[in-house]
Amino acid sequence: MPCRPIHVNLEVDPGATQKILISLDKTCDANDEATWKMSFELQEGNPLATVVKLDVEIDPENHPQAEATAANSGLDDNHQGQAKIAAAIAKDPTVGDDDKKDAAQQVIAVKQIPAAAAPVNS
Amino acid sequence: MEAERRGMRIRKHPPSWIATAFLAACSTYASPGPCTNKSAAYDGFKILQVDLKNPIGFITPWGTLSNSLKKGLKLKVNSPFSLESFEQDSGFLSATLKANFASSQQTVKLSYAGGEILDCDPEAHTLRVVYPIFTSVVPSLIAPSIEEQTSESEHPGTTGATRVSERKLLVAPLAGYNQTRGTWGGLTFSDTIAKLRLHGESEASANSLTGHFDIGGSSRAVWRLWDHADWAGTFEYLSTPAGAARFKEGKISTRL
Repeated sequence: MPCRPIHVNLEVDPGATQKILISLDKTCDANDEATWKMSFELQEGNPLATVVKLDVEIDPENHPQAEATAANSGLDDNHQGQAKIAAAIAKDPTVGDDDKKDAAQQVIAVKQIPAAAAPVNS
Repeated sequence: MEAERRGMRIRKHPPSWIATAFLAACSTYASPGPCTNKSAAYDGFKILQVDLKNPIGFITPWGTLSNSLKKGLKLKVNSPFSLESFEQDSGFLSATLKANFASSQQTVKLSYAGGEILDCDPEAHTLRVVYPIFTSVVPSLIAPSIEEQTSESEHPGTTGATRVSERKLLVAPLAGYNQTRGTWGGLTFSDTIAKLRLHGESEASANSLTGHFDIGGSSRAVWRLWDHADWAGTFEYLSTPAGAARFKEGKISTRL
């Protein structure tokens, strides 16, 4: 299937003073190789102000999950739960940038994809 | 005689020759088909049409964003296709949708912008470009009441087919199904008139009728009593089946 661009912006509102914005962007190069990038932004306070913003390139093994998330046009319960965890980690000053990005990437990685039918052995 | 014979031949053969030529032409003509090659393979193809496809755009006959968005696209009708511009257009649509809704009074829950290449004709080197866009928003003019929040949580996700328009007035259909009410449909609207913020919603099914209407506003500082005050009034009506009985309620509430 040829690669085609997709851009999705999603929002999670855990409370009135907290908002998590997630952007998923799929771009295609001349060789039809897809690149998925995710932007994770945490806003807090009243009025809301950006506390953390992370840009993460989705690992190739998580591309199917990213595709499924974009195709379903929404965040399921797993996504939303992981988004809250990622927000908590992103705010923690003792956590390194790599771990913060990894936690953000997990928001997409937790997407449940139905397993392919197992091959029947003759 | 010879001329007559030749004339007869001429009259006799042309129909079969034309039919053969027509069939030959038909067999070599490739009609536009699916574009299964990688996008870069279509660089230079002539663009016959550029469209923004919004699956629910037809329900809002006024003020769609399509026209203003189309003006910002790099790919134009009759110009050559380019993968780079195709990618840029898709990104532009996403950024514009996001920016537009960020400055509006609606809360964006989801915006989607993609890109599709359709009806590729390898013979004529033509194609169509379609950018599917979709946005789901909820009005945030008035802080939701407890009743609204309960109602929201009970609705299926498909309910939120609310679409934004360039005006502050927003009207959108609602539809859904639950076991008690069956299939229901309705309408939601929100608007700002002067300093008043209005929001209403009405739903009906074969056995139920619900609706609520909110009006809200704010006032400036009143001496030293408060810096500012937000106020809201709500009217709510419910008539739904509750087991063997029927639940009916009309309620007016105010908040300050």
